[in-house]
Amino acid sequence: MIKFKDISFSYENSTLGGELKNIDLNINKGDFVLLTGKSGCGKSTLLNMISGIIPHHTKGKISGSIEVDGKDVLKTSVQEMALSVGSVFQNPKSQFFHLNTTDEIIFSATNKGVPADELVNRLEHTAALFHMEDILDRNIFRLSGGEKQKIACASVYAGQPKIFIFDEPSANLDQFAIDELKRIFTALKNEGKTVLVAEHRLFYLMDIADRIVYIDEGKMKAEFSTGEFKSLSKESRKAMGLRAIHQPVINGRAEKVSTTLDKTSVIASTAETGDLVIKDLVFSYDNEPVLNLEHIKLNKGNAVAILGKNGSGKSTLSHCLCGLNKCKGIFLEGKGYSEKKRLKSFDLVMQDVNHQLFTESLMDEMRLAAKHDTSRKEIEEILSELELISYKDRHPMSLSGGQKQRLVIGASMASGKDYVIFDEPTSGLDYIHMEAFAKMVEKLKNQAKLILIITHDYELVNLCCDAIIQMG
Amino acid sequence: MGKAGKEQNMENRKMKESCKMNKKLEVKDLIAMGIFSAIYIVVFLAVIMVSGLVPVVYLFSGAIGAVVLGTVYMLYLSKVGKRFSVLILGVIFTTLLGAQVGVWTMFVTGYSMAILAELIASKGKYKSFTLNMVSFIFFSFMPFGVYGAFWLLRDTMLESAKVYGEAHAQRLSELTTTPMLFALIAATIAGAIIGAYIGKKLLKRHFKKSGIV
Amino acid sequence: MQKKQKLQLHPGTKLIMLLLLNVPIFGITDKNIILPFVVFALILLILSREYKVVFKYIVLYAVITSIGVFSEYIPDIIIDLTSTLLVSLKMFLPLIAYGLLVARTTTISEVSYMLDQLRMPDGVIIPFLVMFRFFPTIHEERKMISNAMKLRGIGIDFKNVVSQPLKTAEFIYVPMLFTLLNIGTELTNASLTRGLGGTQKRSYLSTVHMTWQDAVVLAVFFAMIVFFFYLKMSGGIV
Repeated sequence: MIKFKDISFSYENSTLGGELKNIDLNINKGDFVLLTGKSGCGKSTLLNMISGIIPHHTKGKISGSIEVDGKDVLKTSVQEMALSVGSVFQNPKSQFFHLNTTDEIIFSATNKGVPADELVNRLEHTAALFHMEDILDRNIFRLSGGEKQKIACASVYAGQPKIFIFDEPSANLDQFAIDELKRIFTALKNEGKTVLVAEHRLFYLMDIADRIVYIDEGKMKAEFSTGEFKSLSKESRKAMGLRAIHQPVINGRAEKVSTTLDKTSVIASTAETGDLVIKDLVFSYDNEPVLNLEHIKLNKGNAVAILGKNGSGKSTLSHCLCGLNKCKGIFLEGKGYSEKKRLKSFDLVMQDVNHQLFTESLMDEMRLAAKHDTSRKEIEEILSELELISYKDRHPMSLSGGQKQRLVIGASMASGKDYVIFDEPTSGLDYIHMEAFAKMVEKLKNQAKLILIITHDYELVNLCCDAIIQMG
Repeated sequence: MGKAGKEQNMENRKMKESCKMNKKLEVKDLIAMGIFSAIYIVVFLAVIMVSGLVPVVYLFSGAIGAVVLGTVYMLYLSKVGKRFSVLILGVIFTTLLGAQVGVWTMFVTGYSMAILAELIASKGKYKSFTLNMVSFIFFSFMPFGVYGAFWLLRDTMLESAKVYGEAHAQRLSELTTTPMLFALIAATIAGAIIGAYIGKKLLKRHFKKSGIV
Repeated sequence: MQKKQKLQLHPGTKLIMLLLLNVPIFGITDKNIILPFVVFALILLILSREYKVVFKYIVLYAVITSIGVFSEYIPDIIIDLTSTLLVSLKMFLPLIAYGLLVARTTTISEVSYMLDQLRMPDGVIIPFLVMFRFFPTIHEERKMISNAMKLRGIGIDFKNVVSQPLKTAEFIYVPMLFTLLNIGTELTNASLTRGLGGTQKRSYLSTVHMTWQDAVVLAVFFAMIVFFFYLKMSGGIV
């Protein structure tokens, strides 16, 4: 079905990596293949070559040949390839073309000129298969991340391609949505579709994948059957930069601070009062009650994970804490602070840091955030620590995603704010990068800051968090 | 055919394709056009709503809009800059705004200015700053039909004003004189020039520097 | 699925009415003729079950008209300050009524089908669709950027706008444009891989056609215009 013969590719703008070197890969009809490797290893590049995005839409140097469903990809347009290959990408937010879910689901089919009565058939069949009758004819913007991703999958499915490729589909999803995704994958497999998934989070695919292909620095390093892969030792997996293959659970290390708990969490100190105290925090959004927290006490020098499924109020809580939402019941070091004061004490590293980059160079960005008396030397020190010093005059938007995140963290460090909230900092990161992030959190803890992390990543929580707020 | 030959063929084909791609609007351009249309309209409406608060300023909202929108226009030409890109942007803008307000003068000034702007920008292959700026000046006159209605449809507007009293209509008549019309035109031209220069500066500092253009 | 009975007009009908409305508005100086047209639009809106909009419009209309009626009691200064805006509004009010009819009762797919029927090229239809898709996106991104700015202390408040207006504008503009362009790139990939721009002609799920409802509405509308112009010619009104 899919044949890569000695494929090598490098991007025009080759500083961002992701190249491929001499790839030989065969995938048969009906296979379910998991592509994995460290960040930047080239798995996304490989997928994009199946759909034809590379080389027709993304420029670069290419050699070798690719045959997909009998078509020579290098000579076939992307739209023509779309008849055989359906692609689902990582970010649910940016994939949809329409505002209405029904229009979106049949998008792929309408582009192919499928007549109206057949469109109705496909719509009904897809809705039934994906269990989405309740989200038909709705406004896509009002859906949750998991529902949006479902629409993306359904949209591709309704075009009836033979091959499905998924690029890190679980990156932004919570456990429930991942379960749904797993169900969809199983259904696809049962229908005999050929599926390739590029992923960091492996655990949910261990029962479905037939083969696992490991790519390192653009080369095909190894191929395993699922059984072989499962028998790899934990150490060798970590050395490969891969995440856990069993569903991660929270180990006992972190103290749980439930939302309705009324005893204090014991963290490193036996102080009666906390640096950050939440007491009787009630918050509604559009007359819908969202938060109801009785009593939580947290201290600086600790990292606290905020867990809970999507929609349970994690973001709302973080917005309340840092002063973006108006609310009562938040006390910093004993005093009830206004929104204005909280904005000055809290920093938030958003899930999409593109919203937080305002200037034309890294130095300017740091200076914008830094306290008035911060010297140039101090700023450069922070940049060096974060391995960004060689980019100091570059434009922030020219950095990679990981570099941008480090820049925003650096800006936060320069600001000297003692309370820092991270929103999903490790979604889509491989093991090595996640570990590096955990080390950074430890460093911030040593600077006597209080770190709050909104996350789905239990491996991260186990590595560096001292307490948990479980939203439910 | 050796490997060198194969690669040469690849290069040739890529060059041919890229020449073809440079002239025609592709899907990625159409999507960019949609995005810019959305930005343009949202920003313009924001300007009108803000300047609508202060009365006389309302008349100058086109000029103010031009200052603010210069960046968007310059970025647009950098990102898409192909045949018909300006025209289609102008047509969409005019049609949408016209459908909201409905005054026929809007459609007249809108479509005609869009055509002129397209012709001028294409003369410089969408890359000459001066021509782009002139193109933008015309582009900024598209909404003239809306607030310019005070002059173009003077009688009807004054009749409307009489509802608020003779003296009031008189004052309005004094306000919307011919010199004022010229001031408005001059302001719009000045605003467009300023906007274009701001756009050029921002383009260089951010969009060219980061490589997105 | 049971859909509530409501008026379904072709988008073309509404646009035609909107454009034709200019004729009586600017062709006949007697202002009273406008009222029947406004009422007609409101009736159509009610028949389309858009009650909230009708209510808001009536309030707006009442406010504007009453300012006119009580103009003697309102200090000159206020009239002076608000004159241009008020006159424009008064002028455009009837047009706004029909504009609302267009906006509130038309779906985007209806419009795209209409454009397709009018043989508009992809070059116009696709940007049109993408534009509507991005309106809510711009709204969302603006909120997030605004939050990020507040956290950095460069938010859109009185102090910042007054002390460094250009910089503040740049702080909103730049991330906004970058983010939108990035979304655009991802959207392009997701669209190409679903066949957008391919050689086949696009198909449509639901097609909108002119029905007897359109015929009746247009007939009434046209009749009103003819009637008033007849009055004008025979000297009944100006």
